[in-house]
Amino acid sequence: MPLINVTNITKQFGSTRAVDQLSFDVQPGEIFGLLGPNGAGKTTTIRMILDIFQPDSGEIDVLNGPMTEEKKNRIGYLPEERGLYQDISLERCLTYLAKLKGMDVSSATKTLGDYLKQLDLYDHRHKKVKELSKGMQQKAQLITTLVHDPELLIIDEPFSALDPVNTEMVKEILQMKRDEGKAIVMSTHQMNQVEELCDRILLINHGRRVLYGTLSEIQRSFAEKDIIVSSLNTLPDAIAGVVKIDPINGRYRLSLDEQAEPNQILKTLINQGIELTTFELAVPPLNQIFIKVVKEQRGEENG
Amino acid sequence: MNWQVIKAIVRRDLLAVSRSKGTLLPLILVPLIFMFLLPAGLGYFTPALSDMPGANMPDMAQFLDLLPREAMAEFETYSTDQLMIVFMLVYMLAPMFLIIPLMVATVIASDSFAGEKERKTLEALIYTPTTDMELFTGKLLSAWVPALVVSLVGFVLYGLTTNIAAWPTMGQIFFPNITWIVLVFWVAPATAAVGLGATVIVSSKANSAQDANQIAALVVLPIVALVIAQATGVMYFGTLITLILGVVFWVIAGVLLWIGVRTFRRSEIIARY
Repeated sequence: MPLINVTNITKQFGSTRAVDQLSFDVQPGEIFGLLGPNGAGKTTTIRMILDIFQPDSGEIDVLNGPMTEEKKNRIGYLPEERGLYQDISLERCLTYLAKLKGMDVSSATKTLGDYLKQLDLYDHRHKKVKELSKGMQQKAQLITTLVHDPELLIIDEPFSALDPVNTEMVKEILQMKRDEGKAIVMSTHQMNQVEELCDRILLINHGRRVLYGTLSEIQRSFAEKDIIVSSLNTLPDAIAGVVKIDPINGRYRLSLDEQAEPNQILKTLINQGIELTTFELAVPPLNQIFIKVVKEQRGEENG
Repeated sequence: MNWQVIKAIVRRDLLAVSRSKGTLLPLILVPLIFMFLLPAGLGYFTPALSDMPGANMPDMAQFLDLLPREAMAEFETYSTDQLMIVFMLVYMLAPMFLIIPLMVATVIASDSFAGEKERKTLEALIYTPTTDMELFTGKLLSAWVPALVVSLVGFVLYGLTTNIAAWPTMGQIFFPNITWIVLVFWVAPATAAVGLGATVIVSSKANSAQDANQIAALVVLPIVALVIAQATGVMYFGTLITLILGVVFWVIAGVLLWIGVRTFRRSEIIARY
């Protein structure tokens, strides 16, 4: 059963159609990438899921049915705009926000303590929030999203202001939550993080669905007929079915001719005694797909 | 409604007020001036005014004549000096007292409603699973309760100051009278509620606590009008008038808060954020 099921939702603000006939679902135990250029309708979609806005038409089921007050306690949302109270201690600020999520002080204190330790913030808990670095505040904001152990997490740019070490720390937590069976909707512009974390993605532009599916399906659908190989020995100058061989960072990109199939090339290379360490389809990075799709749409609109 | 959540909102907002010098300063200074310095000075120096060379006692007598006959009957036993003190401290300053709950309520509410918007903390708050009514009630109480507490403390301070400062002339405890009791326990809470209602409405449009406070402060004008009306004898602040004034303020507060609660909807706030 999907934890979010969105069916043909539309939302209009004045003359602007922010979301247009959008449908998708999010399953438990997956990280779902909600992607799109600025102003694509991602935030409006999230706000409709969270019952802040009502769609003009269409239906949204969250946690197996329409949103209720009780269900709001089972959702954790990390908004794009960070909003921690700056003039109070980190511990007090987090406890306050945990209380608003229905937690009693003792369970909030325990859970917060665990997260503060896990995210290396425990020694800073008595400092005022404004004395913390942006990265620390970002991690603290993530704690407020996780503290009440929500079944559904919606996180907007979770890695902003984080250094590589902290990014890894947050990624590990998100993966752990996915493994626990939580559903995570992640909105970000950092495509490398999407490639690493997301099981499925939805790319929207002008409120409409542009790409939707598993990451590998989407990447394969954009793949050219190229193969990436690396081997322990040097590749021959000519390989049957290959029209071009380009060395890239110690590997080779083989461009196949019209009739050639990857399996056939693999067989040929093995028969020629090449010891392969890598053999994969050359799929374009998500960043490239994102730019291509959005630019194409702009081109179509500009005639 | 989850009162634990409301309590948490009230406690945090009060903590924020206690940490903000800009908010705390007027909450201390204004009551100190109106409830201590002013009555202390008037209580002590008023009798000396009539002895000052050039003091125009016939004019002052005429001034006192503005009081209605039933009020004058109440003061028959007082000497002129005592009458001056009672007039000044018990009647003249009575409407001015209402500035305290009004000011406290508007200063805290501006910080609480528009201030959260200004500090970008409102979005995170709005996405918590609290209901609109819990948020609204929490924020309302975090301004209304302090307004009542400061008013009550101010009233006690005012009572002590007036009785002590005027003791050499009065020789007896003359404050408070019934009108002041009605003022403190009936009109002051209503006045604070009027200030709150106005601030909530203004805050929904304002982008900073300062903007909200400046506009909401305009509700002080009716209080100033009351002070002038009392001083010029247009209106005498007797018990009945004070009771009626309370009713009027409660009605106004009810209307303003009704409008306020309708503007305090997450979808509306987020759309303007």
